[in-house]
Amino acid sequence: MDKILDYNIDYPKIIREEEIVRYLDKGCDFINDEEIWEKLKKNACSSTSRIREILEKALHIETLEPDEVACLLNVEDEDLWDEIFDTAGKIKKKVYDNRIVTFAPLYCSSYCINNCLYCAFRRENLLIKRRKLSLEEIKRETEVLAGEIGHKRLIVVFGEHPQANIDYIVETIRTIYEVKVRTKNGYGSIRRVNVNAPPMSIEDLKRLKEVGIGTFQVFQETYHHDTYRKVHPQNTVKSNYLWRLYCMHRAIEAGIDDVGIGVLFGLYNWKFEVMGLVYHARELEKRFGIGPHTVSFPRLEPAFNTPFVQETRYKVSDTDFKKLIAVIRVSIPYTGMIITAREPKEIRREMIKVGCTQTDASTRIGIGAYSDRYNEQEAERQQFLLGDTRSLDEVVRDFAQMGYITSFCTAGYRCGRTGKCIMELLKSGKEAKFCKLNAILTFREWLDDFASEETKREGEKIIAQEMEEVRRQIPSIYPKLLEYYERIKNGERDLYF
Amino acid sequence: MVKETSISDKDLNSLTDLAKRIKEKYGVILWFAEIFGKRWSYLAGEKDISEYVWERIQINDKLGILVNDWGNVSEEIKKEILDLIRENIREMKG
Repeated sequence: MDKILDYNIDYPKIIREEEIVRYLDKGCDFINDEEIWEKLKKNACSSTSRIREILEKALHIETLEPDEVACLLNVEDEDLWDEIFDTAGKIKKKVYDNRIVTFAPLYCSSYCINNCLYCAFRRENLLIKRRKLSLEEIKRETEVLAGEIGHKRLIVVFGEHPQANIDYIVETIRTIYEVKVRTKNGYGSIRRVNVNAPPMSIEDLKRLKEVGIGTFQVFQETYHHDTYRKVHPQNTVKSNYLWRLYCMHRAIEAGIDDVGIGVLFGLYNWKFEVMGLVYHARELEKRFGIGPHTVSFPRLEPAFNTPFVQETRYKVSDTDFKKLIAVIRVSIPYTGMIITAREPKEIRREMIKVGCTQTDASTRIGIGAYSDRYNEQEAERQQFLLGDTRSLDEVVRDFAQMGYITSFCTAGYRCGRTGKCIMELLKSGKEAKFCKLNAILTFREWLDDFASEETKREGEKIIAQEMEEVRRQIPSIYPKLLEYYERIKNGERDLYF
Repeated sequence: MVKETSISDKDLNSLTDLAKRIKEKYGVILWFAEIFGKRWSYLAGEKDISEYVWERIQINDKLGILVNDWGNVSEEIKKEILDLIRENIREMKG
């Protein structure tokens, strides 16, 4: 057997029991499956006035109680759903203004010691083409992303394997941050690197912090204990539910104060999973005063040689997908919400309206795909198949035509607006002003360096609209915005509020 | 349970206190951040900001300040504040 696929892993060295047990409450974790189902049953028929009361609370940017979330999830009246969708859109505007932040995923390694039934990268899938990028290849990928496409934010993605250990992850991040590429009128670089990786020990998480990570993201996949056991075979590291569940506790304790949680919808009942996400957010708030920086909600997609995806009975319809996104937005009103290119363009357009704040574009998820420059998806190189392979230029134009400005902002984490601090600013509405200002500046950079003529025409309209809103809403800052804006038009880069 | 920083709770409290004193005495709003490459992680200081323009000042290789509002202070007073901060941080390291 190829050495790189050797699964004789020393599990005790990976999973540290003391870094789980310290967080348990009388030996129990914070997800009580029976309690969640009880709340869903108990709150099955709420009155219209009750629902409106809950929506009003959410508009004050307060995290909802589990009973309140259950009420929303059980709404059946379509008119009431329209009110929920409308509230979700209002909350997003209040907290994050009119911008959609964009990023790209960079898959670095497809080797994995786990065997998750739903994943094309599972170790028993011998048909998948495995690859791990060298640091030189990472650099080349980044040069394309930053220098040709114009991204400023990446999420680097790793399978769980000794070959993609903390040393490799740290060096990957360092390599990415070092890239600087000349562009048409300025230069391109990556200003924020988020990480989607396996759960780690506090010791390893400290190393991620020290290299300047953005957000640390780990999805629980499913909060339902029994389902988790079924889809994560017992002889794997990932089979340990609690090691995964408490990784954000460890991350925050290690000093990483921007964390991202998520669920893979399609593994179990979607209403249960939304409740799980809310319980997770509330647990982090209670323990640390810091909720999740982002919540993600990928749906199961076709994956090479992965029959589980076709066989699951919990697939989420487009109608229910919109509902779950709106409920997450309303329930955890301050959090960022990520919808990805897994979803086709029509779905993304629809979901943006009910509270999503971040998305990717020009996405390629084959290992080495950005610099290999293949245009068709290659299922045997990818974890799953994408629904939307449009370029960033097309997506930006689409958003502009919808009335949204695309943002490449990375200001917050470079100005101490992290963790507890950014939570307070988000809840107060002050961060929304920063969002607006930085969207204008970073969009200007991107239009000047990367946009097609057609996209630039649409982009100029949306920028003019946003500038006018600043002039009216925050007149005191308008002169400074104009100053930065002109400096960027003259070729300066990376000015921010 | 709190998130870990590379400075002690005692020093963290000192920074909080210092930011408060600076605001009371000079009317300047600032906060302290721990520096990790591009990341400046919030440590301590007044979160109720009044302006949208920041000045980032690196104090040493691990600590920086973000000044939200210098107000109408003179250059001389700015220097006085920065010297006060540097002195306090030196004392923290013993």
